[in-house]
Amino acid sequence: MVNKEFHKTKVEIEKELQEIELAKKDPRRFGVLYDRYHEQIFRYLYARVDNKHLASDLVSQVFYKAMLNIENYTFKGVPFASWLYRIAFNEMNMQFRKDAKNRTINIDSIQIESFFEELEEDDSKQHEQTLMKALSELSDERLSLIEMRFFEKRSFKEIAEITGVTENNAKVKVYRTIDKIKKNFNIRA
Amino acid sequence: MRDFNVNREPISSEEISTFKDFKSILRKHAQTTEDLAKIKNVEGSSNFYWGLGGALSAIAIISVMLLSNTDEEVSDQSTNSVLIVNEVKEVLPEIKWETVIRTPKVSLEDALKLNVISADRVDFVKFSSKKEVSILLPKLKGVDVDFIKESLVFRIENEESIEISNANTLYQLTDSNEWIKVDYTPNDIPFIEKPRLLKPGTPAIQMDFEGFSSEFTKFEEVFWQPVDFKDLDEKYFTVQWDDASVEKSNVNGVYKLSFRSGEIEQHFNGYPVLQKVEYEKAIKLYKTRLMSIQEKLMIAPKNYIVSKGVFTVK
Repeated sequence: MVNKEFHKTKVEIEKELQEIELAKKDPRRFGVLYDRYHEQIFRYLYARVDNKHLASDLVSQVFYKAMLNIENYTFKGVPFASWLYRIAFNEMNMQFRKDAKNRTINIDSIQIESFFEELEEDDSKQHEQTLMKALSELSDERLSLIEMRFFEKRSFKEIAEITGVTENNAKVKVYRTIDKIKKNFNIRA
Repeated sequence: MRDFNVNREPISSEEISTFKDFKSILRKHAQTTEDLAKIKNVEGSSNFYWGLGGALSAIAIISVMLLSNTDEEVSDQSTNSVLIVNEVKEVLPEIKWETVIRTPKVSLEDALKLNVISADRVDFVKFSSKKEVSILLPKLKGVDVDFIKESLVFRIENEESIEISNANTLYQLTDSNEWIKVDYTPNDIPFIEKPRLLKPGTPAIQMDFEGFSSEFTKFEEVFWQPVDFKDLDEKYFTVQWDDASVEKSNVNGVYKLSFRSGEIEQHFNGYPVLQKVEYEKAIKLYKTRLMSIQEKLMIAPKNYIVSKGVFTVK
């Protein structure tokens, strides 16, 4: 599955860069970018905080910080969307440092099924419980990697851009996390 | 332990859009940038104030020393001055709204120092002190009083359009008695077609169209490439076409190219591409035009549509 919001044509990227340049000169011009990305950033945060109002506050904070720092954004291969996601990722982590109890994992049956395929385990009810337990025991960083890669189907390139690591590093971390989750099944089987 | 939501009903786009509030982010941003500017100003002038503070301290110390030598004399003087103060009644300045009506001889724009205002009648007041502000607008407090203590303030009764110079900003008094920036209508940005380079090894069709003019027809050897290369099948290169035409599509910079030969008719959406030498000329021209548009936007007047309220320009 391809994340359409992430993959942009060259023409779209060029047009967006023009909009960013104008937003640097006049904050009101940022409205175009806000309209374009509000929904996806909201969904990203809402999936993790499970509270619409908290998600909305965090989204506002993300765009406010983006506006303050847009002067520093230059296109060096990292798309503007990933730059926003990185701010959202950091805002979310700050929020969880303040209040860890709100951390939520959103998952549907299809995602569970395909994740079991990745783990090479069958998706029995007992295994489902083991998976939930294993996911809830992961560090915030590792959980975010699993969510982005397997539940949101993001590419390693995109994950790397959002979390600020290299693509290779993102791959290594994801597969080490998978190994860690697999060990849970071996122990609990 | 974390919470799990399995198969939760997804939130709709409509519901998400109810949480959109760009204006509040813009206000917060404006407030922060103003605060930062103030901090910078304070930092810049701090050396001056340190100097001034030092000088004042020295004067104060000398005064105390002098006063301590003339205790009796001073106490008499202070008693006298108290008596005098009690006798003087405070005279409040007279301040009221004035009305200016547009006539062939009276320009509202000149009176209010605006480029353009659509109203024919406006109430205004020119404040020259905080006291005057407090008398006419008693609900204003602190910084909001300071903000207009030496300013022209006007009020309008209906929806009006206002144009001011780019260097200024229009502020409105809110129901909570605070001055906030008013959003102006962004100026339209004209679309400039960015030239594209014909990459070696990619298929392209070279054509000259009589009667068709685009930004690139003035360049030599204009080629055309499809937006999606899948649209460019073999027929375009094997069929002897009788007729071909090009027209602008509804997407800026994209054209619809049509080819006809007898009953065969094919179309693709594409754009013009140029070879290296011509491309370099075109991109230079493009950058100059882009720069010129940005410069114009930077100095373009600001246009506002406002409804009933009290305003000032800073």
